[in-house]
Amino acid sequence: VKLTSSEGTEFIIDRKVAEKSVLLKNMLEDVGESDMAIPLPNVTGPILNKVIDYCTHHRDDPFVSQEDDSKKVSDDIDDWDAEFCKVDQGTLFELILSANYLDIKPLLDLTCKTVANMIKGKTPDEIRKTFNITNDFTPEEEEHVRKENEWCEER
Amino acid sequence: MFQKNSREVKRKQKSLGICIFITIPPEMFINICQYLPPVDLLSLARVCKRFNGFLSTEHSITTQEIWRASRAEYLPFLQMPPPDGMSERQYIRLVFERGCQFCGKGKIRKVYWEYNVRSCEQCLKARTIRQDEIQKQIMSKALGFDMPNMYCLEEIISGLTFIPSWSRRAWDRGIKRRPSSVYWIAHVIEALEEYKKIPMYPPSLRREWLKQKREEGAAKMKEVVKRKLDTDKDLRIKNKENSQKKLDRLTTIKAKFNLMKLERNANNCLKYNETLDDCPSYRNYTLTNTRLSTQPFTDRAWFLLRKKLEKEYDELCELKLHERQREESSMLKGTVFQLRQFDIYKIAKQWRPDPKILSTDDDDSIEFNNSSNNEIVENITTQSNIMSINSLLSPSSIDNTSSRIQTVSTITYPSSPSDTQSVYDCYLSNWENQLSLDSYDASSSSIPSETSLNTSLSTLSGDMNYLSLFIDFDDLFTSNNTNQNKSILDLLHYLPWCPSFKNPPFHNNNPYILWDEQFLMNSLMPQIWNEALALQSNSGPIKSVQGAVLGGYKDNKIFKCKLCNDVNLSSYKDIRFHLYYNHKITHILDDEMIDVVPNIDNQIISHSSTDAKSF
Repeated sequence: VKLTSSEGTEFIIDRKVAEKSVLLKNMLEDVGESDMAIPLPNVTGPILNKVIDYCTHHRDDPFVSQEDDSKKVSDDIDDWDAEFCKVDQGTLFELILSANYLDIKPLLDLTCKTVANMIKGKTPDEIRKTFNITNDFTPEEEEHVRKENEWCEER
Repeated sequence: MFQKNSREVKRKQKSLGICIFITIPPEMFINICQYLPPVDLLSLARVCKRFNGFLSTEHSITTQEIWRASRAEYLPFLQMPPPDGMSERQYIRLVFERGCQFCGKGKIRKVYWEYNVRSCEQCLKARTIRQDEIQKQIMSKALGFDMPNMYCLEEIISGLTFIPSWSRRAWDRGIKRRPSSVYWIAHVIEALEEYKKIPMYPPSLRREWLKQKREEGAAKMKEVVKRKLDTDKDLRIKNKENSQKKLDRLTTIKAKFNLMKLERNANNCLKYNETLDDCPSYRNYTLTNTRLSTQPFTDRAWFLLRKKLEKEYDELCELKLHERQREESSMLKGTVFQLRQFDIYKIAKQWRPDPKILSTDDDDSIEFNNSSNNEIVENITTQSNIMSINSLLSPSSIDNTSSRIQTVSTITYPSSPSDTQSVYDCYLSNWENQLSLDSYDASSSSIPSETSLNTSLSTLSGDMNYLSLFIDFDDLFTSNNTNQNKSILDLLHYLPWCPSFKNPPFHNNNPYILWDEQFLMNSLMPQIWNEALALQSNSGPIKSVQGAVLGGYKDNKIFKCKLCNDVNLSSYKDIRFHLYYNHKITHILDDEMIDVVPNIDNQIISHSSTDAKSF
């Protein structure tokens, strides 16, 4: 299967690997196999490369249906996946968007979990620092929001 | 739509250099939120306006769903949906925030599910009313409410939740007050207003309303009870966890502390004495069970505590030293003299010169030694004025005395069989060597002939007295191999004969002045050690008491009292008892009071022959 990233770079991958993406799987089923490259205008080359890495590593994983992931714990990331997610934040969020676009549920879960883990246990200030977010509250607003969402530390 | 978003993201990233996190589409935000417990959602809502918007829109189904999912996933005790009219976030805040929601008083976590409030006692009292007060207050118009016919008041409020009379609050208790259910004032007024609005005719309307309220009330109370149970269960589990954590922490501290107590300095003496137990920091960390932290006890925490302990220990020791000096100033000079000797003895039990390698076996070898301990016991505990000392000493010092007697007595008892066995083995392995030592000369004339010794040894049958004799011999024989034996020199054995022990070098010749640790460890003890070494290689003529005892004949009946004409010979121990009991001498001067009759050969032979008979 041939894929084209947003810059026009071509990638050739196994059908099995491609089918990790529900989007591609449906496309392939609809269109049938052809020599035409599938254009993926929302995904850049480097990100697509990462996504393909992921799909190749997990090519033999059983398919997890949309609904039966009852356990929503965020600390069940295995070593390979953890290593895979050691990328800069820009890439990480691009991966989230790509995984969403290509409809690769496990990758979406993984990247979201990674972000969630970056948030866990942090104060608002720390979260802002971690993600380089500017505090756009006025002091009065902040006081109001603080009162609304106050959570005593000791517990 | 998605395309646009993605492009926007890239543009923003390039132009502003800010994180794309805040620009991600809401779906992705929700996706991330599903992995976060409520506590982090609350933090997230305070980060920026966008996130706050996502999380604080109470009427949005999506927002409610984020909170609900998080609560269902991470708060096992909060599985019931929020009470009527309460949003998910309010629900979570009610349970998780701390402090009274009315006055802000800190640390309040008690939620009254009857009224869905988290309140301190005062605010609760101000906002509630006893059932039997409602009528009175309505009559007196204290509630700002005019309602003439109150015949069905009870029914009107039957739809409300209340704190039942059997769980009265502290401020509502008292013998004069009849138990009564307690209602939330605002709820009561609301119910009355509602009732008033219902037209009088037809009467069925009001009857219907009342009936409906009764059913509602019963259902609501059931719900309240269930919520209470759920959250109480959580509280119980938490308390249990916390007490376990406290226990773990306590165990860690105590273990570290006990290790610290076992530490020895370069001279093999314990670095810290029992004063360490009295350090206030240690007590604070372990004895006050009420305010123990649940945090695990880290190495760093120990490092800091230890620093504190060391400081407090030094201060306490200083204090005790002064106290002791003051107490001893009223004692007899002779007593104090012997107390100083006892100070030396206590240290000598452990003290070794500072070689880098010191095995703990040294302690065991001390156990074999009998005579010197006995002597100390006599010197100290048979003091005629020991009682007066005791009465003078502070409680802790009395402990000292009793523990000192105890330690001494444990030492004087024969050591365990396994120990004697190993010593015996050791002896036998050396035996051959010793046999070949035909030409040893140091006081050889007075030492029994090989053959007689041999016979006496062959009759050995685990008799402790003999065994200790052997050890002494062993030391004596093998003392030529200096290097090895220096480290196993039995200091206590020679201690009573060391000049620096017999006549300790007091500061200004004044025994009332206590030595400091430094002096004991680094000056006096090395001195005594060297004296003991000298005694080990040459214990003096066998005719002297010292020579006889150190030569290993203390149990032989070769000692005679100089003060009476009694010709009976007895062992060294017995002669000392004799001197003490018959002549009332507390400070025994060996050379002036004891004679040695060194017909050792006969002694040994007679001993061996009796043993042989019994054998």
